[in-house]
Amino acid sequence: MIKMKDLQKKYSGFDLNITMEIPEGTVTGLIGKNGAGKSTTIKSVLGLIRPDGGEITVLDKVPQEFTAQDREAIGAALSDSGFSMMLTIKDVIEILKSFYKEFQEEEFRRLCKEQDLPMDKQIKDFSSGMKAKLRVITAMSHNAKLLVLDEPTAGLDVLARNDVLDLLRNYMEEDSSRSILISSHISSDLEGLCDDIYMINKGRIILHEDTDTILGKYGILKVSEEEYASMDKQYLIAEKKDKFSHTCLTNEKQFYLDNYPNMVVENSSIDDMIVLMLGGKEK
Amino acid sequence: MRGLLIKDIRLLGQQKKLLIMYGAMAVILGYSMDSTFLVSYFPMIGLFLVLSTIANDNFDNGMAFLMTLPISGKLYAAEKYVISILVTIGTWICAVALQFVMLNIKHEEFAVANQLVQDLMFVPLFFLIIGLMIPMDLKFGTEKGRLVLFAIFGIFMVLVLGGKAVVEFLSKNAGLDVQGLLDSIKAMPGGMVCAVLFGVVILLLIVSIVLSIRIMQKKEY
Repeated sequence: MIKMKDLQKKYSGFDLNITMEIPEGTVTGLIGKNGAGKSTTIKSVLGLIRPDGGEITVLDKVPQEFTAQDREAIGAALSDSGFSMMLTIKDVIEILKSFYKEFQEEEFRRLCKEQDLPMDKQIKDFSSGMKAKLRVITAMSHNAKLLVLDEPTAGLDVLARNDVLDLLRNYMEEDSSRSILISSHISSDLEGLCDDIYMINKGRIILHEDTDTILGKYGILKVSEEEYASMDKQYLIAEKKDKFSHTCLTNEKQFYLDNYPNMVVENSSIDDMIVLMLGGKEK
Repeated sequence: MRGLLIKDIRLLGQQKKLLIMYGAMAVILGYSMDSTFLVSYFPMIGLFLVLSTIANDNFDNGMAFLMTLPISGKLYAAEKYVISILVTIGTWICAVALQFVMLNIKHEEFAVANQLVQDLMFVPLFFLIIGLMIPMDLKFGTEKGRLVLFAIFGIFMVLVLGGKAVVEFLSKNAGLDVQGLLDSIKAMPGGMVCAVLFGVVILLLIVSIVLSIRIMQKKEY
């Protein structure tokens, strides 16, 4: 669905250089701190910016050469952009109907009703959660093969976030050939949704792993100075030194469980990974 | 393009209060003032309302999302010309109809053909505004676009005054017959002047469209 090879984009004080591949039928998460390059990556996929180098194809086409028909196969939701705030959902329905041949009006109305989105109210009077839900429902409204979502859950409370994630899960269940690229800095959102995760930092991909592998094989080791000095460090990915101890991230949790029975080994969440890989010292 | 047109029409529809006020003012002004004023005022306000949709599209970074819809920058630019021209012609027709009603109510005598030619003279002016403002708004955004437009008008005024000074100098020193030239223009039939004006402005509109399409194709969001 999406292939990027050494994709480059330079701004003053920031340069992006990434390689990624998103196959058909997968949900891929892109995580990283604010300013890491997530939105630049998403914009490159949508053809909103021109790359300075490298290669990118989306649905076998270069985004800059997308025709209207190509764009119909993509549903997009951007965190800081959407339909004019002056419009109502009724207006949005008429607009989408005339843009997309496959606009599913009944389904769109059903989802809006299910999520308590009012038809006649101007979007400017919606809460942040309602606006975010409308953006996602709009992206899903025309049977797109690929959804590209930039921070669709940013600024939402936990209930609204779950609603948005449920919408996406249902979308994937309807057709297994669909793909989603979703960026977020709230990694817990991605754990239960994504098949694989790319971690981006300062414009570079620093980790690509299946979510199951991250949750199953990665672990957090909490070790004293003495334990740290004597332990085998070949499976450590990142570490952070505290006052009297070390917190380490490993991609072979079982190795330490087997060989160091007294060591504190905890399951790792994506949040732990971010803290250690982006806040600690990479090995 | 249909989607973009519907979007802009819906956006204009959301400004109901403004549209009602604008209609009411047109009727009042049409009755109380010289009816020709109505034909210049009514389409001009309509045109500015349509051009405000560019500002609206840009508001809250909205262009980024618009460009993810099944459209291209080229189509976006073209649609702005289509809707501006449609609204200008539509409001001009309404204004002319209203003008004729007002002239009848006030029992003023007028020749329909002459009045129409006189009214038609405003249309190239509206097209000129479209041709200047759309590329400015697309390139610089609405606020900066207005400033650039004022700067252009400033330069234009300097050129006109400079040109006038040159013509006066030539008529005094080189025997240029300015009055004769003006008389021959005045002697031309109104319809011909109108046709020449339309020709010039349409050429300008074509240049403006090409420029706007290039601006949109180069833009990043």
